[in-house]
Amino acid sequence: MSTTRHALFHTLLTVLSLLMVLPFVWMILTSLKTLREVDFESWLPAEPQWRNYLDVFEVIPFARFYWNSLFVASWVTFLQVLTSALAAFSFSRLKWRGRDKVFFLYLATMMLPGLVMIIPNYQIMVALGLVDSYLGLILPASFSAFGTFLLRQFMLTIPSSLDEAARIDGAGRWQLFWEVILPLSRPGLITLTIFTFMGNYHNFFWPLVMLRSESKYTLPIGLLSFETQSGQLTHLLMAAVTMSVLPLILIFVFLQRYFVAGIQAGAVKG
Amino acid sequence: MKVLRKYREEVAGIAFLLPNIVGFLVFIMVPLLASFALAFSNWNVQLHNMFQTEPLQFVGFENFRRLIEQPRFWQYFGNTLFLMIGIPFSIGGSLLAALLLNRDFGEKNRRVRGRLLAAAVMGGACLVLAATGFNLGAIWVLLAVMASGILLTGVAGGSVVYRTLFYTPHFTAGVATFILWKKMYNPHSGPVNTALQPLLDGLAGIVNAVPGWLGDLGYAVLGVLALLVVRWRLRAIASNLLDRDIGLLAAIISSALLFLPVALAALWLPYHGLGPLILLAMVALGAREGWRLKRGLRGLAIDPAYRLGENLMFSLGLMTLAFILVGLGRVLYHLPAMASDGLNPPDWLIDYHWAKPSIMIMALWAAIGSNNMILYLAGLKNIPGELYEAASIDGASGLQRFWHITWPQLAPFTFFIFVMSVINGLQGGFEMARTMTQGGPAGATTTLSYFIYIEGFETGRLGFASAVAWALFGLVFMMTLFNVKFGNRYVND
Amino acid sequence: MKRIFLTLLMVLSLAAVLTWWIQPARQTDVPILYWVTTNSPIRDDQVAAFENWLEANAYERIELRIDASNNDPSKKLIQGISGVAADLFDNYADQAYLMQSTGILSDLTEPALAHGFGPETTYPSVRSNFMIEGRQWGYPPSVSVAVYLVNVAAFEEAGMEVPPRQWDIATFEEWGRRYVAARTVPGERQRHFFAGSQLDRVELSRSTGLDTYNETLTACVLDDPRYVKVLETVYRWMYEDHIIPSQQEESTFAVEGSGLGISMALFARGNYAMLYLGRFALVRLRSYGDQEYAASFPPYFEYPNLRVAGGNIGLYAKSSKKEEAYRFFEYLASDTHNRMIVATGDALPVNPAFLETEGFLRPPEHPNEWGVHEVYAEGMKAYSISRSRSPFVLPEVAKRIEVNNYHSFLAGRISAAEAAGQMAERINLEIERTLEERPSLVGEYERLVALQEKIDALKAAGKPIPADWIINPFHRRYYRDMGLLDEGSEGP
Repeated sequence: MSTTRHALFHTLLTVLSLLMVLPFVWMILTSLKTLREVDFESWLPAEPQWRNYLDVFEVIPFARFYWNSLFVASWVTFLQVLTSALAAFSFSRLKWRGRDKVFFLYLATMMLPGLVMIIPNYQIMVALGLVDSYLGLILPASFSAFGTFLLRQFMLTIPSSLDEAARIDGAGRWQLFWEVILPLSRPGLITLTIFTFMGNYHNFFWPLVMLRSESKYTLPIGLLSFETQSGQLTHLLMAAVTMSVLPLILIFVFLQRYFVAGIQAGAVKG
Repeated sequence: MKVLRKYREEVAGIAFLLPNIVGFLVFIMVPLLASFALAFSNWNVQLHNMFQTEPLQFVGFENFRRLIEQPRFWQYFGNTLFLMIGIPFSIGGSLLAALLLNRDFGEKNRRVRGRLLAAAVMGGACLVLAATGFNLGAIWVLLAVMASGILLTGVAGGSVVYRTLFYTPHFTAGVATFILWKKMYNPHSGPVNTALQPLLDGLAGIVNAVPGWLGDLGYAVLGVLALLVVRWRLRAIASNLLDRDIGLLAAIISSALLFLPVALAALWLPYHGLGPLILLAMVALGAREGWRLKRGLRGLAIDPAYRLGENLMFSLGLMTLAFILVGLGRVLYHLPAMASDGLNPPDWLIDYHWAKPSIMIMALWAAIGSNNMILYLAGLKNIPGELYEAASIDGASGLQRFWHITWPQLAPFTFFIFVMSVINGLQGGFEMARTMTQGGPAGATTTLSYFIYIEGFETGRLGFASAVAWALFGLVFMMTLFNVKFGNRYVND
Repeated sequence: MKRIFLTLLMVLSLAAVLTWWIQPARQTDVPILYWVTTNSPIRDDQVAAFENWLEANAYERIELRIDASNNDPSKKLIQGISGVAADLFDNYADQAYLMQSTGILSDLTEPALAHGFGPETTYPSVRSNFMIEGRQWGYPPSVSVAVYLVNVAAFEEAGMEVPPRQWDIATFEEWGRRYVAARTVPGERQRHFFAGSQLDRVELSRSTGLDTYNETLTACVLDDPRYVKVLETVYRWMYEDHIIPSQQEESTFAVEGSGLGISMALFARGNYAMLYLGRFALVRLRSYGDQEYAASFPPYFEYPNLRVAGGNIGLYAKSSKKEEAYRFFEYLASDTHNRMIVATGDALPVNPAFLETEGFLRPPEHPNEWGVHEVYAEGMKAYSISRSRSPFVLPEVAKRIEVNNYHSFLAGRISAAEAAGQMAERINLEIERTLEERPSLVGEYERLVALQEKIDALKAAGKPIPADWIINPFHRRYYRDMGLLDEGSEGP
């Protein structure tokens, strides 16, 4: 590709990226203002109030919320990816009677607005004694029709000739899963990891309903504390949100490395 | 043991499914069935809880009947559907973004890279100097600095940088995005209108300066353009039919959709009598084509619904495009009248008629750097490079490579994205309504899910809310069924 | 691949152990009382004051913990009916009604008598916020009415004096037009408004003698020319005289922050010369600096009145800390707490006596506010009337219907008459629906409807109406002041 074409691409991408990044910029700017500047009209803070970032830790037990969010999201992602991969394997590689019907049932359950199931779900939690516990946050989220659906689609793109080749080599289903299919589904797994982690990290309504002890709160709930009676402490809220976003960015950038082309090509050849 | 061997596949299938399905049954099926039962009851949180003694009563279809009779339900249903019109464009947008970002920008060539870096540094410096030099506010300087920064890191770091930046809106989970867009849509001081106003003033000036009949001409031109689009698509369908590349039913439905914008345009024609005449002409032409086709289709032996899914999607997209063209035409037609006392940009979120389009524009923006883009990126990585090599050896152009390699290989993902978009579209709008508009103005942005929230949690009538949710479910179910039946067959092995 | 999963599993398990280890230990010696409320800047002071008061009175120690994240109304409801709600929680305006009818509140009537926080400790107009059908279901930490806070500097810049304390609609509009004319620069977008867009339509309509409901609270009576007049007046203020901003204009001030914060900032900056707000605004306004403030009552058509804001704290029916909670309520009714409310500016003290104190009327640290507090005191004592709520329709539902139609009217989609008509029609439909759902209410409803017919007959004949026939607190007060009440029993 010529230099000019490169340059054009970069310019285009820069402009688009700028557009995408604007809310983030606004957020960071707001986090550096005083409350007065936030309420009154001003784009930029007169003096960046870096102490807002420290104040956040005083107003709420921010470090604890941070840990809780990371902890819960990590477990949920791990479990969900695992169970979804197993299920997706069943739906895409194995042929058994009723398979497509059960899959359709899975799909169908995604279609009911979750709002309405909250109270029955909550009652189940009360019955199981899982209210206000980490387990109560992790378990229900560890099973996902969405994840299963997604990984199934990924697995469908893997040619079935590989299955036969492995069978000929004497591999059982378990090995087929672990050694052939799963590695080849890597982009799918990574995608699901990103989606699940972010989704669960931002999950608001379910922890809101489930948790009562402050020591177990996750970040979205904890951030509610910035709503005071006479208005929102927006500057602190934005500082808190900025800090809370860091792990997501790190994970995203880190996992990008595995989005490299050629993994697939290698498998098809070898 | 013999039994086991016979059902080996089933046992294996269920064994792998087991961890997933246990949780599925407990945490999804049970509440689901419970809420289903409750939809037929008069459960009101106020009356039926551990503190009260009134028994729960089952009321059959009473809730559903009441739902259908409420005029607001239909308004909110309409809102939900309207907001979903942007789905094909959102999917297209994220696909485009993925295609752009797929290149790894290896820049293995040191010289190229060096040159680019130099250019970036120079360009960035110019921008910053311009901003400070022209005395634009501090915010412009900041933007200039940011642009240069992005350019530099992009050149140095490759597409990873851009991908992260594109995905940034999704790191902040909605609320910040909603608040920002609320500010941007501010009618008097938001950047959107601040930028639009001088443009519209200029436009008004131009319109007032030129003779009025240009508006009519513009309408005619756009109308013809829409007709051309329709004709092009119909021709494609016809040739597909002859090539046995599409089923008869699929062809008929896809074509029928395209007649809608044409019919509308004809009806809107201000010159009396001309409209119905044109319609008649079209019907005649259509009949003639149909007759000719019929001869060529003798012996058609393929499934009538072959390739219905994707053709339908295309036709829908093109139909929307044609509608937009016709709509634009009408705007042009009315423009002289509107411009006579100055043009003003709309009030966006506060204006009853513009509230929904405002949300759709925001959704399109969000869709570009969204989860769908990531999915497409993953899907693109999945495509073996040899296919492209083989194609370029055969002399295929870029567009052909896209159409015959990329698009079909991405089909499972497109299917997934489309199904999920429809599901989310029908179920969505809750967070947006709660944060941005509270469902207003006057119910213009209340979607069905926000309605469920209001009915269920504000009034405690959870039985009724469950009924609404299950009605919504019925809709989603039917649409997904349609999608799966006609799309999946094309996608599954 | 297997390795990755196993490694992750190990790491996560370690994390789980760590999390379990750092869970805070529970103290069981001092009882902990949880209070779900918003996070106000002065909450910490209030908690400290409570604990000091306990010590000063030699009561047992109780730890009061503020819980701001459970304050979502739907959450309180869900937790309440599932048996896991906090001990004390705030109920705003009309939430208490929903909470009580759901059964999750604890009846406080007897403990109130024992500990001294019954209805007699506060204003008559506030009592109906926590008294439902003669039983007590909560107690307010503070009370509030709204008046117009005046930014004196803004009027000075317009070359005008501070507006009068009491004014009728015509005077208000005249002042408004004069102010806007003085401060608007022709050719420029209007940046100065006479007042913010906050106002209370019910107060306005009550000043014509019309309330949302009829005397027996059995029907909504908004389809009345008087309410149409109110709607048209507001419309005129917004779109013809431009003395208050419309929604579009309000959003033209590109200010961040949320809701109330925006209006308060605009008021402090002088874009609004007046702002209709309760005294709790001072908590935030004081942080903006010491400007000169005055206050005026809201304008009225014929009958000046103020509507009390209704917040109170309720006790969970299944709380295990009821005795401690009663202690807390006792504190709320105490002098210490009332003094604190006075000093911090957190709305008005619950105990009427404190409105007369020097500390309230002329706070030593804020001489710029001295004109303001008298107005609040007078408003509370002389003009405040309770909110009216019908037991046959949920207040939130009625409010949503009213607001939707109001917005439709403002947007020009329906006329004022249509809006008023639809409001009444839909609210009355909701009443019917409630009666269908709760047949136990039907008996009472029919009795009241019969009573209403008799009342209407007396009204038509111009004769006085017996006081104990009237249930709507507004009408009780209104008829008494108009001399149409047949006193045979008491009434606020």
